Amino acid sequence: MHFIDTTLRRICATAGVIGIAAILGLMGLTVITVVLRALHIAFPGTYSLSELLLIPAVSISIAYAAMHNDHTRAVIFVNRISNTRLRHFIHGLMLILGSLFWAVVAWATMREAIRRMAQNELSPIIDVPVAPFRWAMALAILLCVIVLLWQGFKLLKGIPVEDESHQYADPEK
Amino acid sequence: AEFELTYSTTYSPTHPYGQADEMWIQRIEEQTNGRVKITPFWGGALISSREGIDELNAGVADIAYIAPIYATSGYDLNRLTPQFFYGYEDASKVLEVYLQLWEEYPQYAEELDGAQVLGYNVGTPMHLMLREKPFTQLSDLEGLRIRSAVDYIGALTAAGAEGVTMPMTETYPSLQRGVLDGVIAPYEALKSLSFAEVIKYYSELPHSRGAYPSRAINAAAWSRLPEDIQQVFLDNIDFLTQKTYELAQAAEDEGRAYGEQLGVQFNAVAPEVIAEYSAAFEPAARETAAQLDAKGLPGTEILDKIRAAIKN
Amino acid sequence: MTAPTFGLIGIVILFTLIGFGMPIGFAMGLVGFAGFAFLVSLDAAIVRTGVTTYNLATNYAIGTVPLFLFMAHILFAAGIGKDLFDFAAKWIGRRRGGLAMATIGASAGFASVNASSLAATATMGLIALPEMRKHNYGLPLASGSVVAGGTIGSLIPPSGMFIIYGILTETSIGRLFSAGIIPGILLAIFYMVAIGIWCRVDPGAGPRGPKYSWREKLLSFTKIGEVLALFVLVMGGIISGWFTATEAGAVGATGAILIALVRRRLTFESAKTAIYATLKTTGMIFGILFGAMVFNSFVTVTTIPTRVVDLVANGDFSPMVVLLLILIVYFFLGMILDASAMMTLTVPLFFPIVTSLGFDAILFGVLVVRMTEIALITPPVGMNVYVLSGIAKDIPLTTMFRGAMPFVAADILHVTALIIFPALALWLAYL
Ligand code: NA
Ligand code: NA
Repeated sequence: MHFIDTTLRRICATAGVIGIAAILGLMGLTVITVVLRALHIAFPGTYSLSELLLIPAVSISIAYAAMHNDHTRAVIFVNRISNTRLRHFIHGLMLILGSLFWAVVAWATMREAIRRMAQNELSPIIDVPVAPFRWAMALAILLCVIVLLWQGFKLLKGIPVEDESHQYADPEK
Repeated sequence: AEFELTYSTTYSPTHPYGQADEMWIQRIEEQTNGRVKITPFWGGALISSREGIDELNAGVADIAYIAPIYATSGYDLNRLTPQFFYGYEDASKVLEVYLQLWEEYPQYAEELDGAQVLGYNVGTPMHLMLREKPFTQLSDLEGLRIRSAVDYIGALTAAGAEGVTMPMTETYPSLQRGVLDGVIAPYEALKSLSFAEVIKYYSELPHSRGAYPSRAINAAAWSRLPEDIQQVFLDNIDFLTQKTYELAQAAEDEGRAYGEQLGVQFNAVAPEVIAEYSAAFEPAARETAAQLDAKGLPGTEILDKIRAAIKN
Repeated sequence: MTAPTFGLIGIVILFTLIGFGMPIGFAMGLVGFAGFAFLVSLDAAIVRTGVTTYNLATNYAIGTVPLFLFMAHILFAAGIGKDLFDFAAKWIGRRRGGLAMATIGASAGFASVNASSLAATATMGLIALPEMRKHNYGLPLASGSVVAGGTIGSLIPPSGMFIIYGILTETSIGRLFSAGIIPGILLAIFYMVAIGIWCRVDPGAGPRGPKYSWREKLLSFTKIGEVLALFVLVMGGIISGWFTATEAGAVGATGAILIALVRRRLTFESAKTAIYATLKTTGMIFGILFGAMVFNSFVTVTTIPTRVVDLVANGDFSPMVVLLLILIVYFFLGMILDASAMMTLTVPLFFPIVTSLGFDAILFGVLVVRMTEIALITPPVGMNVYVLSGIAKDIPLTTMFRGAMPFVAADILHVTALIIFPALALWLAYL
């Protein structure tokens, strides 16, 4: 169990670095475009490249947020359950059930990646193959599914997970 | 009704394409004596423009507005041959030539994975809208930043301009503030996209958009319809195509009038300048044709036919 | 079972799942996918899910939200946001609810350089919320003013929503931009008045701060140099056409880093914290947006929105009643749909009705944009609230929605004012 935890954390950390690189790359690309524009140097590939960079930036961030259990949840009813075991069980069940949606997204993305790869889809103007980026999205979402299933499984067994969502008591009360 | 069909489009009912759709839907419902009911979904609520054909074929909607030219891969003949119409000024001529190609090359229809085409569009030619000064000769393009479809980037670059593929929603504020110097768009956009408010000059340097199959019904929905109803749809292909063209043309006139009202200056471009500019499209078109040839498609053959037709 | 009935069942299931603590984006995505599969077909649902999520992940306009988030995280990490509110505390902190009013003011200022409500909410959530909490503001008021402030952005140009409306209805984007300015400023005033009343009724919501001498007040000007520099850079860049409002996020983030570095307020460690926090908040927001996109498609095929439109259109009511009904429809649709979906689904249908009844297209645009923005802060689906909840994780969603309610009341009065006095919007538009 510890082994799976460590492995998942390592994979997510690595993915996180790629995601951050994509966000910083997006920032750099935009700023460079703005500067080149001021200098009247043409750089027509910007929008194409931005769209490609967005794919890992967005999809990896979703997996990363999942790893840190960083979701927006409404816990107003669940938190009334005083039995910790039952509360964990419901939380775990909801994560496993919810991961179905991400499984569909991963599946749809993979299917599309395979189809587009066969069609040799190229990004306009810069002519970069899009398939690797589609695969990156599929893998990131797949990682998200695995993380959710693992967290759900642990919760079902009554083991708490790192939780940064609204598990805190209402400070007003 | 006996046959309930959904129709999805990225346009709204105020757009000429949407207006044509509404008339067409009414006609189909009437001519089938109410046995067919078509429920439209406007504004891209159900189908995207980039993946429109994929979604249609998966059954997201039964009928859809499609634009193979916006696809990022696949549908090669449909997607790539419209760019061979560069230099054409007359949209009705483009449509005529294009429909002949569809008769001649069954490969066009085969590419659509069984979807039955219900109407064709011809894009009215786009021109050059500029902020600072009108375009009269190629050197006027030097150093300008112009929002453009991907197909025109090469020619712009050759003339020393920068083609920008910025999203359409970004274009208005960019023209307003001077992030862009101009945009390649049709008369109609002077009004529909409010460009007349942010540009001063409209130079008639034609950028043909070619034609494409624009409405289709997917194979599953098509095969569910009995033959007599299928026949009604087939009989109305010409109606939908012509109506779309007429209304688009009317919107062009309206857009131009709106531009004049707002003080946009229109100028014609000398034929030799148009010819010189158009020549820059030739290498890219040849290359695309060769790529189609390599896939076993009649790329060069179609290119030559289209280029021969313009000379007549 | 008819499609609308099925749609209502889907919505009930959605709320049940959310009630059991399923992350909101997951619940929307799951119900949206399953419902679409049931109403259309499994294959169509898979393809639609793939297309909408991929298009969201490559959407340039929404895609720059991470960069606005990064800018906000940097401002937060370098304490620059804190300076701005120290300044506000010195000048209007003495007034009850003063910092909440300052939040509204800052949101209106940010609106002029930014086209996205989500980005505005995230930025103010990182900068203003911690300061209000530090000054012992009640959580409903503090969070309510942040999420409501975020909605001002769409009225004050540049505005993405006005552009979408302009394209969908072929009305003048320039006029829409002009029409939004006075209502935008007026809305900020309405919100401030609402805060004033709130604090009068409940003095604990926005307690008075300490009193400062004039010397202290004047000295506080030295503290806002960084924020002013950044604002001038971004605002100046947009006005002079160096970059677009969408690109402003990247420029703003870079500018924030440079300013923080020059003033030695950013360590490597704090920068690292900021970028990792950006990654997490981005994931949280897009996790919800992915689900919302898929859910929107489901709501579309239930035909609930189109049936409601038909009801209003065929009801044979007087023009004013039709307009009011339409606004009520928007209010309720806004509970379950996000702003852009509401726009694309209903505007094409309502627009011809409204204009044929003699209402001005520009006025209707302002009203619609307002209604789609109100939707961002009404429960149960309120994107601004979700975004803030990703930033302030210890504040329950219910507290935030409760805090948004007085602002929704102010919104309703604001919309009423626009209907009674259309000149508020139309005067500048037709100048
Ligand atoms: Na704005
Ligand atoms: Na809402």
